[in-house]
Amino acid sequence: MAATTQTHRSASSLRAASLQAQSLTGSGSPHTPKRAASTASAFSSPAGTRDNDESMIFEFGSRFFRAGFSNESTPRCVLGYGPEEQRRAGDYRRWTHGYENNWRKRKRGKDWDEAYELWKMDLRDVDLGLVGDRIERVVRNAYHKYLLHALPRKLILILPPAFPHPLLSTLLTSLFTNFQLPLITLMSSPVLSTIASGLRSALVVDIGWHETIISGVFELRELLHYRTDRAGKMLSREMGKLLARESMKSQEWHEAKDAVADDDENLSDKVSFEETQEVLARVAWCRNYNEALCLRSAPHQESSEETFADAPEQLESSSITEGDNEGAPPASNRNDPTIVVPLQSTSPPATVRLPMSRFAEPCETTLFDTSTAVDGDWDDNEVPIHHLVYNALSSLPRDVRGICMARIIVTGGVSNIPGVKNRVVDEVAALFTERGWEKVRGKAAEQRKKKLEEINHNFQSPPGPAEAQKTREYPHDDPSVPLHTSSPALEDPEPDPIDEKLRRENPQAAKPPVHGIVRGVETLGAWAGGALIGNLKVKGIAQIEQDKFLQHGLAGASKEGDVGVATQRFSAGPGAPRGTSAGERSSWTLGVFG
Amino acid sequence: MFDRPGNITAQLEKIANGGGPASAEERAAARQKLITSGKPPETITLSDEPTPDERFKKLKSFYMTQLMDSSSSSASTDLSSAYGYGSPGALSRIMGLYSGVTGYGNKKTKTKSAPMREALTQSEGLKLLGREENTIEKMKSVQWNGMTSLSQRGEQKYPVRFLSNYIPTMALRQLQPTTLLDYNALPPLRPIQLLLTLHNPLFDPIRITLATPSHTPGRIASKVTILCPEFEIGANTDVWDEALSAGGKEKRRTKAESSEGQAEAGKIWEKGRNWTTVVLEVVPASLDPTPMLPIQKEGSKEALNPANAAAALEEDDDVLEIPLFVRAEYETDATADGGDAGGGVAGAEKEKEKRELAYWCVLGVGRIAHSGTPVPS
Repeated sequence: MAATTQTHRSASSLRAASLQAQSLTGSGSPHTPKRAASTASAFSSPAGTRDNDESMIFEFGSRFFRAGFSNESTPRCVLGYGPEEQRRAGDYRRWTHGYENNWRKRKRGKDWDEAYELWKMDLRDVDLGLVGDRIERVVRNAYHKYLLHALPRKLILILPPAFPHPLLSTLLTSLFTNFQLPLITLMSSPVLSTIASGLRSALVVDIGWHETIISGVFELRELLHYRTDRAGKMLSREMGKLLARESMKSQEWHEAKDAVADDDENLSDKVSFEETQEVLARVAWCRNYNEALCLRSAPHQESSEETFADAPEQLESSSITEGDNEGAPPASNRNDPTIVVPLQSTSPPATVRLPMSRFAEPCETTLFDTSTAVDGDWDDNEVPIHHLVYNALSSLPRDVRGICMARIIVTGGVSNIPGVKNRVVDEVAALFTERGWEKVRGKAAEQRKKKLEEINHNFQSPPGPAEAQKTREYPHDDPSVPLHTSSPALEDPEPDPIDEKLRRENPQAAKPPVHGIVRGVETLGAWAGGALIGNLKVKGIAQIEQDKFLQHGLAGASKEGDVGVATQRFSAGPGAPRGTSAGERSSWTLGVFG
Repeated sequence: MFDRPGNITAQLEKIANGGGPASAEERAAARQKLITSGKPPETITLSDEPTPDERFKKLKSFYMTQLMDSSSSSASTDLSSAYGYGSPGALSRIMGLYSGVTGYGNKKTKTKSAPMREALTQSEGLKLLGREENTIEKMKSVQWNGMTSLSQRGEQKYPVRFLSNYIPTMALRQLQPTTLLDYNALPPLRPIQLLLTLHNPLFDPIRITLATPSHTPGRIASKVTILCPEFEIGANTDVWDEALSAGGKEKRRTKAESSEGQAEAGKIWEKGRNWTTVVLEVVPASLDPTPMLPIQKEGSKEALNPANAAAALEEDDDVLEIPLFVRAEYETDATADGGDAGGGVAGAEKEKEKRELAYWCVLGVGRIAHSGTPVPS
């Protein structure tokens, strides 16, 4: 055996040498190619420079851009797209006197927060040329200020799932034409968030700017996406309204107080976007589940605070009750101390003194408010986050659900507000203990359940596993099939002989995966996931070459099925599949973005 | 400050850490040392919570070992691995083909790669969601000023800026020095002649072509004319070279003398060793709102306020800026910086190579005076 291996090894190295020679002589001149990144990585030569192993990681969100290198745990820079970041070099007006007070004149977009986001969800009004220029600007800024050293030429681009194609096309065009990148790999952020938490399956709750995206990821594949508008933008506006109202009150500006409506046009004149972000970053917090439950069951205590944003008539009543409170200064106890927030951007500048508990309200109303609709009757894009998580979980296949519910990852900008992650997980746990995974709810379902319990003793044989699942998932399809009253999700699963055998054979994976409980897991974020992937030299599915993209644009992409999918698997070790797989691809795909 | 021109980040980190690299491992070792030394817990200042950096390192090593286990390829640097012979499974399959011994088939099942698994423990980088109540309690105890502001968060890493050294520098100044021009209140609808000076940082003479739209973009469109858009700039040679060689033959500065103080179209204004000046004529547009402004909002506060007569103008609408397209051509040694253009071919060192640099830039002139405000003299 040893001898044959020896001969074979020498044969392979011979072949390697001849191949190398061939490729070198093929170019016509006998010199060593200086910057042949592609050949160097294909041969994975130990003499290759560090730059070949490294890749750049860019993450584009609608508010922030992160850029860095794959061998580092944090991005080199996190840049916003706001007007301050877009200033020309040498424009120091930001530090001039009275700059904060002039923000009303400085309106760049129609909306209060429009100038600070790279794109809007409604692409009909988006000037894509401008978006491309802003992308170029922010990437150039990152290049020249933060990514200083010799840049690797591979780029991993992290995007939210189902990124709109017009934006994707703009983004790729801007990157390919301005920055001479030969190869861009697209990666989807929920998968990378999963990787950055050390998992392979998870339910990723990404509370971003425009929307909250809930993605089921199983074995590093995205299964579904649920979206809701309840996210950072709405939260910012709620906080802005709160600050506007309170600053007015502190001015004793009673005639203006009546004029404070909840529409966004008024908000845009009261408090600047920057200051609202500052307040959100500093003092916003989120109640934990028990506190929120207490408030919900005893709404009369803080009704004035809870219902402030819902309807005009409610606002009126609340302003009256608040007016009654106004005589006495807010009690400052240790559990709910008064926070003093100096506001510069209101006219005139105001100091808002509010108890700490008031700063939890925007989170409450935007993310977890269930009072606006009868249960389960929300508009498609305004389902509260915990209900959406529950819906997403219950629509996952059963096995996947068991795995995913024990791996809930809450990420995104808003999740950094203290308490939000705990609250999401706790609310989902509460929903699960209340309902199980029963999909049918309501009075009729209750009655039917009772009826079935009565006739329960009548049916003889317990249904087989397949049948049981069917009744559980689609009870309304076949009313003749009797319902199981005890939820199968709560029962212990039958011992699987194959699983046991696998466990015997592989003692490392002896521990069965945690499943069936609601559990939250921390992640390092999608960017760190991209950096981990960049380290592992895993070949991505959606790899786009510069010349091919510039020839045909997005239209040149072929469907995912045409290109080998197996290359994304982790079983493909470092460098292992390169020689055997198709080598240079003739076609390319957008993968999950297609 | 820096020892080497490259790898600035590592050098910066070194400086920030007071001379030595502080890796995650070292911190972990220090923590372990503190714990094992049996000191009372009050003195232990390092928290048990792994930093994100440490978690990243753990995850990285976890995935590396998983990849090793699953692919069983012994060394990624092994050349043979690039051709798919690296894994024992593939190897034994091929050996089976050659030898015809069926035993290899059985081997294959034995060495079948284990599927990758997820991280299970904290040492592998997994971190379960902790409680956040402590943070909220802490928020209650510190006031507004005790919490990290956005700018603090943003400025964690200090950016280092390097100026590119191959772009001609530009300067703009007034032609007639007799009447002092207030750049913050340029008189509208009156032509201003400006001198645009370009300095060449390269060691080769460059040919410059300038272009600009005849009207500046934006709502307030001012007229711009470059009187001499094509010219040459001398090389950035040694100052002594010029002093010695130019001697008596040429004047140090060549000026369009025929037209004293008067700009002439198609001719450069002034020229020196590595700089050239041309004349730029600008007619600032009027800020008078009548012809070009959209209808003001009815009843809006600004419209009622007489102090804000020009309120409908947005910030910076009165700034006069000229977009300028610059194209520079020059010839240089092909091996001068040996990188981009596939240089490095032996024997071609003396070859001159044509290079081209083209970019847009913006010249800031000043602000146009508001029609209401009197121009201060």
